[in-house]
Amino acid sequence: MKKENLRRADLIFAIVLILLSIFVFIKSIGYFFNPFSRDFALVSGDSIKDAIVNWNQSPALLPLFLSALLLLCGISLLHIAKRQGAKIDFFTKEKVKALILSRELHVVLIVVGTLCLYIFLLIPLFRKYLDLFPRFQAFPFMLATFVYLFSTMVIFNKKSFKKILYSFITAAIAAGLIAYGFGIAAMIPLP
Amino acid sequence: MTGLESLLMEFGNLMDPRVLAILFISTILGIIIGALPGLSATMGIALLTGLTYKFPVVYTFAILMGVYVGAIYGGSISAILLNIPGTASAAATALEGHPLAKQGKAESAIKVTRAASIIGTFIGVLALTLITPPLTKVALMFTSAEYFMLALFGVLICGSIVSSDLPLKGWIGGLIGLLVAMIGMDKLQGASRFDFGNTNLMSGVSLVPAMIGFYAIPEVIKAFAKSDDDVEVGKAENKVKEKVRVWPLLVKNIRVIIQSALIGIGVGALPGVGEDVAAWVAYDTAKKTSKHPEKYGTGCYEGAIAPEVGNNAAIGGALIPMLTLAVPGSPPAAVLLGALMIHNIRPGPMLMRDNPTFIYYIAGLLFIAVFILWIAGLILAKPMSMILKVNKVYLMPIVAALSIIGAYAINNRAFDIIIALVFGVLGYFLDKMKYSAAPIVLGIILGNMIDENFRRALMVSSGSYSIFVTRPISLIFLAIIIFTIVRQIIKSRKQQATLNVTEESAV
Repeated sequence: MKKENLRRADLIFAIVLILLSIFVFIKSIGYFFNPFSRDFALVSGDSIKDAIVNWNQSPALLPLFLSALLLLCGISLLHIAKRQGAKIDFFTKEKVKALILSRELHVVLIVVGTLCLYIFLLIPLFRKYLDLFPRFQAFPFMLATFVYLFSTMVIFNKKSFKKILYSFITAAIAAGLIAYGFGIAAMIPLP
Repeated sequence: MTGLESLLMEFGNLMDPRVLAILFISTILGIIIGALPGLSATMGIALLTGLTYKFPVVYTFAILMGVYVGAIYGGSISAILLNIPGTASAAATALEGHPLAKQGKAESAIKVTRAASIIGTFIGVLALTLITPPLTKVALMFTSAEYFMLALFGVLICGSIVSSDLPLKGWIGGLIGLLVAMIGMDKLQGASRFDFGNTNLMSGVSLVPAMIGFYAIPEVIKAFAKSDDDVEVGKAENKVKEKVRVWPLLVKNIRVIIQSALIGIGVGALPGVGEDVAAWVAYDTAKKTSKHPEKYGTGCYEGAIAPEVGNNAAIGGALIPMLTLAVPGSPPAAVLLGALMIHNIRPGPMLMRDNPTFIYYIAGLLFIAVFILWIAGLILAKPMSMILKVNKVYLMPIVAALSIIGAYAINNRAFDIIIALVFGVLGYFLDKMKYSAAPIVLGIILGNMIDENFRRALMVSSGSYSIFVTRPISLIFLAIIIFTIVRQIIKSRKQQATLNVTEESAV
């Protein structure tokens, strides 16, 4: 990342940190007076008094300190980023367009998207509908893994018949080895 | 029983052919993991911690130690052949190793760095064996105040040293890690914090899935984000007729070896800093103290030996605080600490009482791993240029699938997969903004230790903060923390002032 873009990112992240520290501070104050997160209406005056007297035992003590330190760091980062010329000038049409068209963002979305599909769709779906061999419990996971591996390899590989064939063979062997090696040989529970 | 007797007894126990076979295979696996750019020692250990969870402890740590030692060495092979360090700890090796390969001396460079790695690991493990048992006795004198300061010192010093941009980012990383550690039930009162009503979060964020997320998933994304079509893989053979006699060359460079090994052990023992920094410091010091500094960068063996001895000696160094104080000295040691915890081995001062032979078992494993590294390195030297040609398009999706299994396997909990994914994406964006994963992970690991000991110390002192300055060891740590912070602030201001002067003169 170029230094000017890095400082812009720092500027945004500093704001995120400041907001996060405020959030943690507010939550910690809540935990200080009501450590077990009961309904506030049920918190008696005596327990609030107890919390103040025994402040050094409070589970909110460290989070309170951390929120203060994070606030300090967030402000320092904001100050450094601004001093080094960072401005909130990236919400222009061109810059948003450039971001949307960037290859890196596409890669991030594809990798995270395929992983999400694999975790939240393929594995549960195959486990539910393709558990065909009771003696080979790893079968649905193997199929889901094969689909995930093959699709990811095809997406990022060159689109030629040879490469697709390689991807198919590699995905099939890898999925088989993973399912057999971990699920059966090593008896590791598979998702 | 003396330490030496215990060590010899562990050697006897480790002579089980199955343990040796596992150690051999895992060292080979480690070398391959280390050599392949994008896969690192930390990632390999994090993945295997999850995948070996059900294995007996003897086999688990044979696997993890083999991978650790192998991967730290393996990084140098791709650094020499590709000019891409397989692990960050081999980045300094590339400065000398690749020019040597370009001069047609790839085979000699690999031989020399292999021998340097073996010597470095050996000296590091020797230090581990000699220092760890007496240090556990010193650690017994630590009370809550010292533990709090030590853990805080660890997070802050790690943040200061490993940050590649602003030191502030290292500290922010440490604070983020500490905040993550605050999620879940606190150990003193059992009050659940920041769980947002999610019962899965009541037990806190699982360490291994978080580490898999931080170390594996960002690498998968990064591997696809950049094209490696143009990378040319050299062969591990000499193109010029040069007969390098490795051992006489190492004897000639004995000063550099001892100096780099001591740096490696020292830097390795600093919490969370680890092999990467050890290699750079060893290289830099070797250059500064060399009779021929002008040769550095052009392909000199001395410059290739220093970082390899340094980063491998850091393995032993990093394990010293991990075993004696439960404060890991490097990111791979941080993952190993997680592995120890899930196998119910509690590192720290009580280790010598609860598991008196464990330190010698680890030392024995590492000594054998040094010998295996030599054989495995010899076997893999030639085929490595073929292995390095493996396309990331085929490799990285497999790493992603293994990450999912590794994250799930420890607790059989689907929520842990989500943790790995969330931390993976977070880790990628933080990495883009130059936040190192090491202080964040160290913060997650040491968060509970800091929280528990901070409050315990205040309870003992009836709420008086003076306990942190009246106890000598605690005061020393506090003084180092303040010194580190003030020094970094002054350094940053000076750098900023220089930058301003440069900009003004440019205008």
